Amino acid sequence: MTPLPPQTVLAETVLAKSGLPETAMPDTVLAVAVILAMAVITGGSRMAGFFLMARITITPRFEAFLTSLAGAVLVAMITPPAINGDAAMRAALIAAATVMALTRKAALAMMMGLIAAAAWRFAL
Amino acid sequence: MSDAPTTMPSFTRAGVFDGMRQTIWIGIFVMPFGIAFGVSAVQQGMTPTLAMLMSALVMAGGSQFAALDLWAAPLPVVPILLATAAINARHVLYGAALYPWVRGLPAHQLYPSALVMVDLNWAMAMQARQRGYYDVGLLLGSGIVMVIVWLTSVAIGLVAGSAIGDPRQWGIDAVMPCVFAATLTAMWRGTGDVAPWGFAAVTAYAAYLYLPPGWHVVVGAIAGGVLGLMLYREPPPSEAPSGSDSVDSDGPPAQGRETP
Repeated sequence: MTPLPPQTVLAETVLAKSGLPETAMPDTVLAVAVILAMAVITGGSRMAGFFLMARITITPRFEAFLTSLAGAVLVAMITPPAINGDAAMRAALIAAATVMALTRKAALAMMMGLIAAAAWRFAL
Repeated sequence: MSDAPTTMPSFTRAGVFDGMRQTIWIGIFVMPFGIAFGVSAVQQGMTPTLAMLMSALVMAGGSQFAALDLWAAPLPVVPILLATAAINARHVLYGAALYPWVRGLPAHQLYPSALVMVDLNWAMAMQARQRGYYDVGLLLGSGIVMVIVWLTSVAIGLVAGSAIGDPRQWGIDAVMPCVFAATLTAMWRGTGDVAPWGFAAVTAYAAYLYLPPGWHVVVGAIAGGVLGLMLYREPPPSEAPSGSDSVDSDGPPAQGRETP
């Protein structure tokens, strides 16, 4: 794991000094729990379409929400590296988006983005 | 449902083998993502055991990369789970679109197949439906091969990741943003996306500056989703298909061919 940030260390010190039994879950247990919860959510999403369609109809309005949501998640994750990242990061993002727009091949787009970032850093 | 299929779906061993055979070659194109996930996991400090566990149980590239992006102590549990739900919500639409192809199958054949439904074999199943191929074993067989390909490629990435030296020099830190950028490009439907996506970018960056780690994904996603909902206009009644089967017959909205 990455080094613990100060507030965690502080929390552990407080716990240790309080003499209370260790109630904080160890990192690994929490990590496994998060992965299991991710698996339940993802498996549920895979079964939900069949399950729901046997019972209800997804309205176009709800479908519009889900579609915008899916795009917005990706936008939200790209924005910080696009703004705060170095020029190589921006070159990589532009390369990946361009290759995807032209070829529709996601694996190729990722490789070209990677190559753009590496080339930029080697060159400068 | 007015467009009830005249063909009942079947579920046979031959269909399962058919799906396996068709996926072995296409699966190669998924391997770069699995390798990239393995390498990124090493870089991010996730243990190989946890990376393999997540790949086996979740098996959804986009949400795995998102979780990895947020993976730091203390673990931002709620943002990770909300991001997982938001990214994988597309599976609900996949299942809804594919439903006419599986209608009538018993649950013990239907839901195991659904559990291994990823972008690639869902697309294969949709194409199969177009050609009038109604053996749902295809979905399960293809999904089984996808699990094997995904785990193998993640394992390769985990081994390669620890041998690679400074990952930044090789541009590895750009892999996740590039995967997201490519997926987003494929999801672009037109100028109607500008407002929700722009709003998501602005709110996400504000949250990134002022909120605890990980929350920018949740804030941006909900802001963009809600704006998309508010901007949605019902199609004029004259053009709208009558009845409740529009999701059935129209297929899903333009979605990215994300892996797996």
